[in-house]
Amino acid sequence: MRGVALCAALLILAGCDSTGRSSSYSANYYDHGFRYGIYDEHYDVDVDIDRPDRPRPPPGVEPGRPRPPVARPNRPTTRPARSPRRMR
Amino acid sequence: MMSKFKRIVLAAVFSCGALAPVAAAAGVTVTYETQGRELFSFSVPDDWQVLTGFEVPPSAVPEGESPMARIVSVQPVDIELVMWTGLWAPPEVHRLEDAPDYVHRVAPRLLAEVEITFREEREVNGLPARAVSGTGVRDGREFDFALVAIQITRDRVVLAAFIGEPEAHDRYEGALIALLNSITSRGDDG
Repeated sequence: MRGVALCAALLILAGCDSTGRSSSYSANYYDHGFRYGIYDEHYDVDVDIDRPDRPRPPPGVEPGRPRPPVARPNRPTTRPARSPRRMR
Repeated sequence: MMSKFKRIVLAAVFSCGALAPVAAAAGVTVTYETQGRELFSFSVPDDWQVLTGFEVPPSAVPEGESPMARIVSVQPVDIELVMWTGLWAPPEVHRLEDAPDYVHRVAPRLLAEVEITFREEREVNGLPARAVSGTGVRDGREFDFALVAIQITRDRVVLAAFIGEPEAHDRYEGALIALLNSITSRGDDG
């Protein structure tokens, strides 16, 4: 188990995924981020967002992940109001 | 407290799995299985692809803890907009009544400034379900989201989530509704 895991970690650090392709492309950025968010909640672990295997964000996007909110006073949103979207 | 080694193992498994081979699909039916149990199936829209996710072996988590279930995501092959559609059955959510609490815990890890603008109880293929939708922010960009929890078997709930730019929701709404309505139980009691 340790050997397999360490090999996987080395491959990741080398910038490859399980197919041998480079794993650093922006197409997987959001898939990666949302999966990690769900796994973080389950295991209560925050994986370092600066890990080298993290897919790069699309151009112009500042990488980041929301963190569980810290208690703070309500503040008015700066987002413009939009009509509610009704699911069909 | 999880050991540092197990954190590394989990991180490695997650990374490999999240970037596992992408299966191109054309109107195929996918059966969702996690920890050896088939729970549901769904149809993949034409010209969409499936990221099958991965399984965490029970031996990789501390004794007494459940490994997280597989997360499957689907998306159009030629996509220019930001969107994510995922399906998973959290092991700790057994009943629809458990879903709101779970969603409140996981939502802040997906989006900031979450605002729920719509919620309803409904049925999906005769199965009881609850739906919410709204808006949130990620990386400074505003996204729409929609989340449907379905009681897929007597003791498991599947979550189907869409998060994406409003334009993506508008463009792919038909395909997303078709995907949702294709979800059928594969559980022995479903």
